[in-house]
Amino acid sequence: MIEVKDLSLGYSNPGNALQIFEHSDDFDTSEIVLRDISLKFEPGKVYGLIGRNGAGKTTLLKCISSLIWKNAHKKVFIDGKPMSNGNPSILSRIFFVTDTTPLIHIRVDRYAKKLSQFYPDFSMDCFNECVEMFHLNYGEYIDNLSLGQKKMAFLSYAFASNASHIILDEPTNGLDITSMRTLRKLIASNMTDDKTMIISTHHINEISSLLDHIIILNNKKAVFDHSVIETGRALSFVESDKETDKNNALYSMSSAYGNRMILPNTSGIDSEIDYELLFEAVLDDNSKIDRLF
Amino acid sequence: MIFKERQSIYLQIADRISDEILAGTYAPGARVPSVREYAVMIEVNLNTVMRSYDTLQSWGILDMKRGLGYFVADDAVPTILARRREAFISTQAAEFFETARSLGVTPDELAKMYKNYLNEQ
Repeated sequence: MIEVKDLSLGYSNPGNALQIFEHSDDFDTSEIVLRDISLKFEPGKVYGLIGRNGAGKTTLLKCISSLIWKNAHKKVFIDGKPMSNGNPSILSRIFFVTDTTPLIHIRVDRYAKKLSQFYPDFSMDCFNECVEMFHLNYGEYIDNLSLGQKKMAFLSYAFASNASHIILDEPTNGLDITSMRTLRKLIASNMTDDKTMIISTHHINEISSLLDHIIILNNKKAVFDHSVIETGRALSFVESDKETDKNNALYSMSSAYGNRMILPNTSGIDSEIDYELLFEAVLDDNSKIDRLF
Repeated sequence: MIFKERQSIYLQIADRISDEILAGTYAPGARVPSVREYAVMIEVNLNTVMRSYDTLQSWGILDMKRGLGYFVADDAVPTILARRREAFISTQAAEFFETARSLGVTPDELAKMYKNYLNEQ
């Protein structure tokens, strides 16, 4: 479990490195990137993190995987312990696949061996299975791989690491249709009750079937933080050509048929979430939506 | 009138498994794939498939045998058909009649159309 408590960060002075602030009133003169973020990532769940370009998704993921570490021990807790930059027993519980994967000159299989020394539960069987499913070549050097293949190699390391927290920043970037399906199968097959997966994406529909929980970042804040179950129960996502429906809608968007709308769910039957519509509605006015939870 | 609303994914999966039982893919008394196998096959979250299986169990369509997995209930087929009949009458038929009424299709015409349809089958 990862807990983020009142996390705020930004640049204390223009040109300085990004830093976590100890107190939220340290902000006045700074450029703020994230403000008062409090989130809980529980085991056995897959979290989807969405937000517009520059909303701070990657920055948040860096904070919870110790890549921004100054003051992190006061704001980020992993399995109840403060985050630390140097403690291997904490770091080996996290595997972070960054959007821009590192350019390293080492063979795909040799890098797996290196990582296995760092991650005590690293599974070569799982690594081999991932490599086969992605049709990767063990003997290839990582820096010679294409963008998509590099991503696949690091996704394979992530699943094989058996780290209890797997964090994927834009994992679908660069993947072709078949590899995307493989990724979905690997997420489903590698998920366990003691693992937490956090996935950020701009292409929510590509991974929406795998999510337990949705977090939306906007204007430096976490403006939506609800489970898929709660969301489908509270809101009803419909498409209708009747103007009367539109008048009751919390949010509506024109479509070929009429309007795609969010209505309060009064049917007692859980609705399938229209993620695009939810995203636009929350960005438009999240208080209207949040009132129903 | 157009009004589209899709049920939550876990209900769609429950429907899909019901279809497979009706089609004979999983026979009464047979074991269905594990939650994980099914989740990987259709690329869906494990907890979602777990919820579908739980729901089917509460409807008397699947039986859970501890340590062995989920099995198709002996009377799964009549149970599914009864649920579907109820859903058809309360929802789909109501929408169909609303369209028929708004377009001025008479009950006699409907009865004749349905009889012809059955004769062609």
